[in-house]
Amino acid sequence: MFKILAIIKKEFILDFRQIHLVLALFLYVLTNSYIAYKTFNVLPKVTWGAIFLIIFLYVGLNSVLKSFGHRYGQRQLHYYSYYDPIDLFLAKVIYNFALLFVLGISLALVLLLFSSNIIQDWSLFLISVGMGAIGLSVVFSFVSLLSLKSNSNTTVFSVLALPLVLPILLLMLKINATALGLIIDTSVGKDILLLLAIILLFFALSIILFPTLWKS
Amino acid sequence: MKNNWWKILSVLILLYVLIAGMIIPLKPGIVDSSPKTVSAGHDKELIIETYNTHLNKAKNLNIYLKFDDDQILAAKSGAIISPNKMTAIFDIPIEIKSQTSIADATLIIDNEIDGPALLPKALFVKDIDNSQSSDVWVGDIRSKLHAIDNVAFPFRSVLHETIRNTFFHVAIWMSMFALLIISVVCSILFFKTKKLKYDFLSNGFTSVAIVFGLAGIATGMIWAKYTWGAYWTSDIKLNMSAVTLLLYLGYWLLRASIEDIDNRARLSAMYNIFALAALVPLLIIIPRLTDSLHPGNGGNPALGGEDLDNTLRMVFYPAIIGLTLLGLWIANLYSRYLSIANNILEREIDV
Repeated sequence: MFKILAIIKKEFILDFRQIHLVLALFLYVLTNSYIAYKTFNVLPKVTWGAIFLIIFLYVGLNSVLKSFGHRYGQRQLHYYSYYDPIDLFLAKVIYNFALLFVLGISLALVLLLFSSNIIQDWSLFLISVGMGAIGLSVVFSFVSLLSLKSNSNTTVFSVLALPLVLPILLLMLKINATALGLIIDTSVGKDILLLLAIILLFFALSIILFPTLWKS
Repeated sequence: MKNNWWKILSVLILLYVLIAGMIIPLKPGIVDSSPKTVSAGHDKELIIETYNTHLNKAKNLNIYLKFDDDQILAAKSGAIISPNKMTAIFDIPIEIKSQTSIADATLIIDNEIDGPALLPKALFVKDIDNSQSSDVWVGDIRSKLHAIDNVAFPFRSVLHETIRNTFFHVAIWMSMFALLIISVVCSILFFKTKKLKYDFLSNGFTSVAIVFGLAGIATGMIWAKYTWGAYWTSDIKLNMSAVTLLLYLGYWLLRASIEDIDNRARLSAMYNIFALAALVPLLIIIPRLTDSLHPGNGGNPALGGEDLDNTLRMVFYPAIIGLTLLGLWIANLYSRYLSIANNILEREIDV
């Protein structure tokens, strides 16, 4: 547990030493929301939900999928020799989740500036964004390591990661639609449980496969 | 020969499936009757279209309208136009016992050549007095119907002859699942043994499964055109299967993008396991929880009940086995090809 915290702390310090990379992500959120807003000029609920999900996905691709990026090369040896791979993976997922959750909330806030009074059920919306952030960070962290280990073009892996997260995104879409008041879904609890089950499945598989991949 | 019996078996089974699946006829059925709604009264004429019947040859032809078990009305007279078309005239009484003010009737045609055929909710009768009972009913007809015991596929409205696609569309998907599971087993074996043989096998199984998936989508599209009226709809099952195919096309992309053979084997085995884990919720769980037209999803029945009767089973189960064996055979050949290609490559490097 302490080791996980230590890795998270180290990641945090190293990332914020290059603070421009983190700020770039927030600028990405801001610019994209503004482009979407100027494209539509008015953002009704349906458009709002769609735009939120798409930008959220691409923010995830840009932040998490690069988490084992090329600049990671030098850090890899350090982590390799000091830490257990499962600790490292857990730390990565937690760190990426926190980053993606903050980015997702700020994305929602920016989009709400352009069209207020969209979200009817804030708690449901936060649950959806939180679970989406966990799901995306699990899958993307894993795919990111695949990309690091393959020594090939990273574009291929952003294409590969998209269909993998589709079940998560589709369930998020449904829960978001309920949170926005677009549909009335009495069984939204079932969707949340299903999303949780899918995330747990991916998580368990990553935990099983990560050490083999990491040590190779 | 000793080791190849299953290849011969697969060819024989598939020949049987093709021949039996295409040649066994459908049971006789009623396609349509018009008009759909009449008022109660004398001399109401129904035009009835049937399928696979021999109305002109039948000597003992009976036509009934069944409102419920106790209220069955026989036709007063009828005229046969062709083997599959006739008209029937009924005297419909005003007094029909019914829960509602409109009574619905099942149309039954029975003769000694074809046996009974029926069309539920063929006729709606309005302007009835649903509090009183009449005395024109013929009583229990079950003993009068001619039970014909021949081998034929069931006649289902909307499906008609396309019910034969069960042996191809459904069986192809089932064998695709089987091949993907075998492929993941090979991937796991690769991690345990680190032998490239298992990577070639796993690649072979997955590749054949992708081709089967494409064939499954193609047969499904043809089926959808004839039963739903469009090649592609926004139905959840269709779109999830498209996503699954994207996922597995990604597998090919991944393999093509990595040059190093050991690295490729390891990463694609990992992706393969991940992809199957994503496939299960996509194709099996989510469509079941959502509204869908596709059988087996959104509360629709599929393999079970009266849709899959014993005659269909007689061809359907062999079709799954035959296609899976064929897939195993092709995958085996492909993985051997990959292995030989790899050996040649290594020899060239050595030289």
